[in-house]
Amino acid sequence: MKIAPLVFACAGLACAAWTGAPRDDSNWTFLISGDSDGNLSPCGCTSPMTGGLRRRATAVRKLSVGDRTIVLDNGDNVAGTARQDELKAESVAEILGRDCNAIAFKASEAKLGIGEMQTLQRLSKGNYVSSNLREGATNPLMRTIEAGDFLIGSVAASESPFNRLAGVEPESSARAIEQLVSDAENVGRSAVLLYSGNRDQAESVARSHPTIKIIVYRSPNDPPKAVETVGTTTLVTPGEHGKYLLRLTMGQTEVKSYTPISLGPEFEDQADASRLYRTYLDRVDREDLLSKLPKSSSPKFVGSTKCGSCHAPDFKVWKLSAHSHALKTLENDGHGRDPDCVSCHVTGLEKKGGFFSHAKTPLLAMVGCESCHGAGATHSAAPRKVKMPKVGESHCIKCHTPSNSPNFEFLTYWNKIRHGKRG
Amino acid sequence: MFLPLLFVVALQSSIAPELPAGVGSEFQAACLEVEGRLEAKDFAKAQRLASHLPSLDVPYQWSDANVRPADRTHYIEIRDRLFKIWGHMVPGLTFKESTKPAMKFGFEKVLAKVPDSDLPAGAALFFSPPGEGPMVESVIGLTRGNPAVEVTDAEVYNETSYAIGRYLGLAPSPIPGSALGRTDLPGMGFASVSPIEASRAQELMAITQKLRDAAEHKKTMTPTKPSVFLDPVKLDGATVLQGKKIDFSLQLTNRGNSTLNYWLQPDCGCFSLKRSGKVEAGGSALVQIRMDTTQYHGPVEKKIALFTNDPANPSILLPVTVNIRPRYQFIRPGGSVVVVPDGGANVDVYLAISEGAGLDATSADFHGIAGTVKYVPWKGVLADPENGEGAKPRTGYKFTIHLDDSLPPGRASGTLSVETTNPDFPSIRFNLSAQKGIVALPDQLYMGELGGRPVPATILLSRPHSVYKILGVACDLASFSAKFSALPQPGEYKVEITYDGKATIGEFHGLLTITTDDPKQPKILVPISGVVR
Repeated sequence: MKIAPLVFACAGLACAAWTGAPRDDSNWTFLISGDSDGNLSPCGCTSPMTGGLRRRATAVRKLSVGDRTIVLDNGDNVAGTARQDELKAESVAEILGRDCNAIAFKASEAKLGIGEMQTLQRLSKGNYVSSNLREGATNPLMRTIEAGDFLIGSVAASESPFNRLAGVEPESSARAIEQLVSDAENVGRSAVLLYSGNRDQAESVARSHPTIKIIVYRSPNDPPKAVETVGTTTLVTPGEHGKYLLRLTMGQTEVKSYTPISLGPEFEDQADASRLYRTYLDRVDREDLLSKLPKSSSPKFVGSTKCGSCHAPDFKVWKLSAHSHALKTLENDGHGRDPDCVSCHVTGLEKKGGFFSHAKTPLLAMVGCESCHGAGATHSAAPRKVKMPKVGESHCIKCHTPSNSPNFEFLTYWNKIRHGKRG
Repeated sequence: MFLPLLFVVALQSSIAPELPAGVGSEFQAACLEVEGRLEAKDFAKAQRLASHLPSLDVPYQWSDANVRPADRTHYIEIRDRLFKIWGHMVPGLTFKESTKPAMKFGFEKVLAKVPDSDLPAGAALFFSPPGEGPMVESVIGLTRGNPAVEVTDAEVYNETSYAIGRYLGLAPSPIPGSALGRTDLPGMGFASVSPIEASRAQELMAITQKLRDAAEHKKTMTPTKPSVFLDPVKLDGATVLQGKKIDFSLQLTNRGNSTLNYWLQPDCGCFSLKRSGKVEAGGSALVQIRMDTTQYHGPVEKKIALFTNDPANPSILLPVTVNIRPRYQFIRPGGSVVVVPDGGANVDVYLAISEGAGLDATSADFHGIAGTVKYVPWKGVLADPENGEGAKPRTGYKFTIHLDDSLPPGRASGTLSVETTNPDFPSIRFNLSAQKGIVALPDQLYMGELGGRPVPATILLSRPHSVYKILGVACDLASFSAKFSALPQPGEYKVEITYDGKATIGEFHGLLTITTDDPKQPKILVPISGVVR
């Protein structure tokens, strides 16, 4: 009987034995996250959205291999120096501090200053590490952290953000790497480098320092599907925006297994991380960061109801669209006062005459006509004299960016809100 | 007389129904085998093979002897829930227990390891040829992970659902969270059947019915064998300025005998493209792919997965590489923290614009702190140590921010906001921290979640180049105490705050008061907050 070989295919699984193997106690399992760039929640740049600290915490708990697990985070978890970035950094520290053995203190954390450095180290339960920072009276960070058979260090690609951070000049990145390697040899452990250099820089470090066991580098791409090695050094990256958790099992001499795990919706939100994330949103709300956003001058906004008094058919289309309750959608998600999100869910947030709060500016608490067409007070006062500008795709993509709206396609979306003479 | 006869012949011989992209290779092979028999006019065998193709009536067997008795009823409930869900999403699909099953479900304590991994398989799927057992047999591990943990309800649900999807002809999916996006990792939540999976399964069941009908009515058929040829096999966007939209063209040529169906799945929202299409036999299609580089800089490598109904190339990964130069950089020599002396300060911030960036400043404003800003076109040599760049000639603007004497003592954040002529970057911003007088770092103390244990925290006080004395520290929260000590650096102190572990449960908000000998700043107030659990 002729049988197509594919018919026997085994869905990529081992078909032979049905038995498990005993755990190999010489193995170490690393769980590696990081480089979330301020994306505490699942990132919208993929569909379905992936990543986020709450899913990461679930994955870490489920994938830990008892006391043979080392959990690392490659840092760079904030993307700016504003107050919201400080709040984010504090929440990240508190959440990661619950399961990490070592968290890299990188340039983006260093830019928040010495005060935040003290706070982050405390909230993380002492797990931040920076090999760039020398010991000093005001430096609370560890230069290296011992975990299992390994000595973990963290080095930024450039030491500049660490200048004068702890009252002393920082160690150059090249020297910090040398020191990590030398310290690891002295304590009889293998060096693991949390690094903010890119893939090429990591490869160069691996060639210069072949005794480093693992280098975790920074990349704007997803993690490679297969593990990469340079000599005996394993190179890995958690990729961009905190979308992945890496699971890497190291034997005595070689990589036993490597799995980049996409943190999709199949990972439930972990309860503790969810509670701490909720606290973050409450703090953002309580500090009223939304009201403190810079606002530029603009003509007055009138709200969509006013537009509807003359443009009734268009108003009807808008009223039935998701734009008309865009802020409500966000509020239901708990992000109704989150400056990261609100500007694309209201009318004129960054303008002096635009949205201020749901209570004070209820007519602008949605994506209204003026979100795209601009403030309409002058047109409303003299409709024949002052014409509103025609707008098109270029206005949509200010909010429907690849990150926020990965499936956006102008014609498909336009059909949902088709109105006006063009409609 | 001849014409009607020709018409009858034409009716009886046709191209087999085309398969959509995203079909399991086993299903595709089984369909091709039936079509091959129909082409060879071996109708008896075609009929026998076609009777083993998946259909809407699914005879199944559930062998739960290895499952703990306490879990058996529960797992059956999970199974029945899934049968109902799939039956709802694929109208007509029904499951009936049988001793001659097309689908068989079983359980084993632990399965063999996945190749190149230290993890055991969460489930194993076996496909049998017609007449040699169930078409699909799913064996679910009762433990998974390393170290082994007991399988959860969600994992039994997901593995059962995955097996049903594979039986219906669907390919494993790269998209996590969907029924066909399974994994061997432990700890997953419930994955739902996506509308795309459901509609594709309906399509496939219609195709298997057509093949059964053809075999029964002895219709000859030519097997559908689309063959995809891709040009290029890698997309290279070279070096571009950040924000540029790169347009790629991908030619798909179909060298086979029937329609090629394809479906594109990018790994990044930065791509806009038409995600699916068809290419007629012998034809070709150009797929336009646009990549938005606004949110990236440096070397970027993304991937687009192409799924087809070409039996030889069901999926192809297309790498996309591009090197993205930043369109602009703000540079503030000395960092983003400014120490403001009495009388105010002028702060220079440079906006370096890459050549050809098409970005001119039209206005500038400073928000958050009382200050004014002026700007002039600028050209000069400047390093950008924060981005690891040495001194080099740069062109752009120099912004001078004047922070006047009205700035209150302490720490404040301001934002330089620049409106530009570039439609992709209409407003660009740079944050600046200003410190005046004695500054508490941090200026708000967040203690996080506290429990029944003492927790120490530290605040640093600093006023560079100017000596002052701290006279006392006090906290208005009963469970907190504070003390201070001088640091080696003149003008710097450390305040140690200790929580005694005895506060009542709930949120707390208090104030730390630091008293100094400076008449301009006799009291420095630091808010303290956190929650006791």
